[in-house]
Amino acid sequence: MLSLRILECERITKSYGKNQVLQDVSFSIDGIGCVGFLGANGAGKTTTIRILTGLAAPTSGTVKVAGYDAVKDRNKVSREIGYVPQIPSFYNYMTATEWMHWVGTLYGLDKKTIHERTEELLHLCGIYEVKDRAVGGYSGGMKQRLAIAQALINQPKIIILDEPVSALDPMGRYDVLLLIEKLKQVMTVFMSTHILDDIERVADHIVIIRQGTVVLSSTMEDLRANHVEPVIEFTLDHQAGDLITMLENTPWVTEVNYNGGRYKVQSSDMQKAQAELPQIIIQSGSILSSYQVSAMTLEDIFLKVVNQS
Amino acid sequence: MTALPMIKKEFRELFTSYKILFIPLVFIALTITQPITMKMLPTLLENATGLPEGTVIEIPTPTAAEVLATAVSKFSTLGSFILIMIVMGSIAGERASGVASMVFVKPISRAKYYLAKAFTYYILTIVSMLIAMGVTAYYTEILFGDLSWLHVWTGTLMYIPNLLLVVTTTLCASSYFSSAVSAGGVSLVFNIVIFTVPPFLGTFLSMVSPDALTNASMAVLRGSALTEASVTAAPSLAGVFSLIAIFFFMGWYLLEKQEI
Amino acid sequence: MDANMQIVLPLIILQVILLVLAMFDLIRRDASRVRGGKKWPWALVIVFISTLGPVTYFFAGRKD
Repeated sequence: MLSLRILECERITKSYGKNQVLQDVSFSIDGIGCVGFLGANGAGKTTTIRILTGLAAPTSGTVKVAGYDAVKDRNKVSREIGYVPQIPSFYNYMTATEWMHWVGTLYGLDKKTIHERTEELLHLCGIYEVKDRAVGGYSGGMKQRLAIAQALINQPKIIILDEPVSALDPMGRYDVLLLIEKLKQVMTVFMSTHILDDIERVADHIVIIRQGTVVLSSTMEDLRANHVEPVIEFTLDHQAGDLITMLENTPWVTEVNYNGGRYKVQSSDMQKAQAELPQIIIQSGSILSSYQVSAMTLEDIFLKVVNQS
Repeated sequence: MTALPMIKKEFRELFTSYKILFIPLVFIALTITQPITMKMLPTLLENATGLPEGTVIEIPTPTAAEVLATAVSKFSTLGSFILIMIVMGSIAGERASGVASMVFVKPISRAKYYLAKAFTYYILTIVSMLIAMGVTAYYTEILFGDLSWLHVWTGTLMYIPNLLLVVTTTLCASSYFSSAVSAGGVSLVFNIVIFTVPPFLGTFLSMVSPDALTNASMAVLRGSALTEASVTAAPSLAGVFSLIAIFFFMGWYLLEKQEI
Repeated sequence: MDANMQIVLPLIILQVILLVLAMFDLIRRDASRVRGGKKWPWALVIVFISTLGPVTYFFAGRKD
């Protein structure tokens, strides 16, 4: 399948007077899947999203969404995207059904299509039971779900969510992440968050922004392959000889840690290490009780990437 | 015609917020007090204490046309203030609540959004004004005698552009400021200036000013000949419509450039 | 009916309509969507201040 270039940001800057919010935001996203847009509060996530959606214009640089320029072709972009702001609001006197129908007419959909999609999406997002109540009385979680439902009515190529789960309770959070997992099978889901766990659960691609600059844009696969240095962990039943010195003198070992009965070995050549390490241990006369190869956690990688830049 | 859903929504809001009932009623209350106080004035003065026995106060009874002319002038003060109060939040309020950011990512151009708002408030203003003046004229006729209805409607229609100017400038302010109160405040000050200052700025500016239109409209309501009135009204009509056009496009431009 | 009463009658009718309209809106409205968060002060304003009471409620008392 040919994968479409869905997002392309080229050297975006954004200043409000002297205050430069975005210095250099460049990244591109191809095809479907979930993009985690990670950054601390104030890093420039919301500003970037407002530029992607055409709500704000960049000071310089170009943005293309689904092939259209986000500034010049604002209306064309709006047909291809769905957008869920951090705190969604609606016309409070409308019910969920009425809002969905109204939004449908903005897209120029016919009545039958609107009706079908409304039923389907309100079910999907779990607010079908309250569809005939005025939105003014909804809880934050219900508004969030309605915001997602209405963003999908035009069957967008990409849905952009600004911190979709940070305001939700654990159950609501679980539901929304589950929904995102479903959506990313058929479209691009661009989700900003400051919480690493969310990314680890659903993202296929990660973009990290720090102080207005994109410091990393990579698929999760590449990230793990490039940044993850596996660690061999083992414990012993019986220790004989000076194992630590022996290991430190082995050429492919880069680091040895011993802490509370647990050995951690990092290596420059993992294949060799996996093949030879058990032998070294046995030759020393020690007896192994546990042995495992584990990956660096995403948190380790995140800290490493952010500290490097 | 994709502005239609937006216009429908605006009209629905007029009903759900009772504006469609409230504004005509308040306008009626505003204008109908004029014939009533005029009629009651002699009685009120008679009942006033402290006058020596036998004092005779001669107050010439105003004509029906004169009463109606003073009634329309209520719109240049309280009437305009009420319009500013209604319109000031129309865009600013939606931006402040965040609902504008939900709407503007949909394929409705900001031009159509703006147009729908202007259209709705223009209609509300025109209809409310016509109802209020119609009711007041009817009651004035009962209290003070016959009126020329041709003059009533012509004079009323002539005043309407002034109200549309108030609506347009407020809408323009509302698309620039993100707080309804700031928009209303700026619009209020601006309208006071533009309605009161031009008469002091020389013949030409005073001829094309909204104030000249108010005077022309009052003259027609008093019963001056329509052909003569139309000559004096023409420059001010041109001036007011130019102002409306300028602020209409300025508000549109500001909204187009606005960061939501 | 007193002749003066008759003259003022339309104004009285208007006042009553405005009062009823404002009260109707206040009763149907959720307290959280009324400025101040309480309904009873507005009920007093609407009932006891003629014309200006309902008008003030209409412009300043409602939140959406």
